Amino acid sequence: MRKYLRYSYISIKEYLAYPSNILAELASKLIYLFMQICLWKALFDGSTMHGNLSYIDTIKYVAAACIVSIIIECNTIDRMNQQIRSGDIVNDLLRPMDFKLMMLFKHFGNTVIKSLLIAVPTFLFAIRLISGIPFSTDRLLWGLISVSLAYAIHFLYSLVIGMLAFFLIVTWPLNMLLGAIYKILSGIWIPVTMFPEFLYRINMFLPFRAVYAIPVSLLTGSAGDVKGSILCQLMWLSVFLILAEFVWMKGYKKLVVQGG
Amino acid sequence: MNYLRVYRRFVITYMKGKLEYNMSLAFELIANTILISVFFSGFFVIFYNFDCIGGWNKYETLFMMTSSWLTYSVSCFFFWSPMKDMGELVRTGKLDLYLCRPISPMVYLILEQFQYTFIPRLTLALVFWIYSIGKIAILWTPGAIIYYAISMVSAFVIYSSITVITGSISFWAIKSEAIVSLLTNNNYGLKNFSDYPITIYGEGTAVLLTFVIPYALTGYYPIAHLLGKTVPFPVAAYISPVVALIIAVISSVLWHMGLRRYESAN
Repeated sequence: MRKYLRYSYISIKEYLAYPSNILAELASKLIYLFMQICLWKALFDGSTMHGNLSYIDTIKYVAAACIVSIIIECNTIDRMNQQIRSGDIVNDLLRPMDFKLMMLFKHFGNTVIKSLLIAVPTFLFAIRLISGIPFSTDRLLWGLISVSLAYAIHFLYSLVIGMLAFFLIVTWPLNMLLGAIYKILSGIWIPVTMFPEFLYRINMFLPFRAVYAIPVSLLTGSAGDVKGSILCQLMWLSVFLILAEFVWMKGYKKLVVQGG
Repeated sequence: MNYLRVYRRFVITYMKGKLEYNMSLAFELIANTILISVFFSGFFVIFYNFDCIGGWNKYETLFMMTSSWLTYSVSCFFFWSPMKDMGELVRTGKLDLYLCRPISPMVYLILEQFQYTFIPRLTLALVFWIYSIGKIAILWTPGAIIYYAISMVSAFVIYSSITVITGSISFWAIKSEAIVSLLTNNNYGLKNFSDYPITIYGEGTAVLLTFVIPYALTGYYPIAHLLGKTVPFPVAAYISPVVALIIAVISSVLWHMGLRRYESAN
């Protein structure tokens, strides 16, 4: 455990090494949050709403989604792609440790430092932007459990997609494609309850909503079924656990490192 | 004419290089198509739930958005890739290669690439542009058409100049990538503010997008003027050609200053 925690520590130091990047990331989050809040406020302002999410619920949802995204998002796909393509992965494979756990702890370190430096300021900015919107804490506990599950699901998903570099030569089009689908179906941009019927139905069978739509609606209290939501997340968590193990075993066998 | 011949040769060489990796070209095009489709799906999901935004209905917003996207895609087709790579070229000193050619480095940088990845964006924007143009209440008098055409050309110049300016910054700041993505990132870039009527973002942002980084001049003001909407700064509907000229001069000066300042990597 101690040796894995060292990796978290290293990734924190890596992150702190580029202060200008941290500032740019913070700026991007604040701009995005501002843009989203303005957009949805304007939509509700002077327009009749046909959907089933109220003004207050939408604004809360959008703000919470932005903050949760800071905690959940990870660069595991890029890291995996890069390590596999460059062959650097052998250096890590030689160590007497589990590679996937190592990636998890690196991501974990990243999350800790980002929560402090990015999520907290964004949260304060959000409170300023949407002051006057009531926020109930009834389901906060369930919400936090759900966010943790989403964290794990998203990490495993990224790991699986990242490991596809074992089989593909060029990975960026796939990442771009999945990123786009992810953007719309996960609910990070538009609350999934606003989708037209057919899109909503399709999305019910896909894992994307387990990462943002479920935890964020639980957090903000707009989700009806708590148990069902958590169960759905647990199901996707186990699916990705098995998938990650499977792809890892296949890819590991296929791995050829030039000159290695 | 000479440049056209050079360009043809370059495109052929560039595409030959790309086609060496058989499936990747098709895959890149598909990925880009889906990325842009997702943007439009999001747009339609929003307007499936709502009627209008900031006093603009769905078709008016779509027309504004696609007008500015069209010019943006054309501009990016030529300028985006070279300027995105500027930082890298300066850091590694590869820019030397471009300086010792018989044509100017800017022309060379533009001619030697062929950004087919912007074709899906261009095509989809065109499709929705045509779709929306029939459903909006603009009377296309000759005056309106000329006004629209001048605005779109100015928009192209404004977009290109902003891209060149961000590229030129790499001559001074070592890392200009952060600035580039703050402006043009698909999720949070400032450019996205100009997809919707800028009045929804409040006074400060309107000033910023009108007078500092004039993205609002590329779509919002001209279309608002044609539709007869009230805008925060009415004069801005007429200044895009002038602003385009000014910003083009600024970008050209910056670019040449940068080139003069450049002293290879080692």
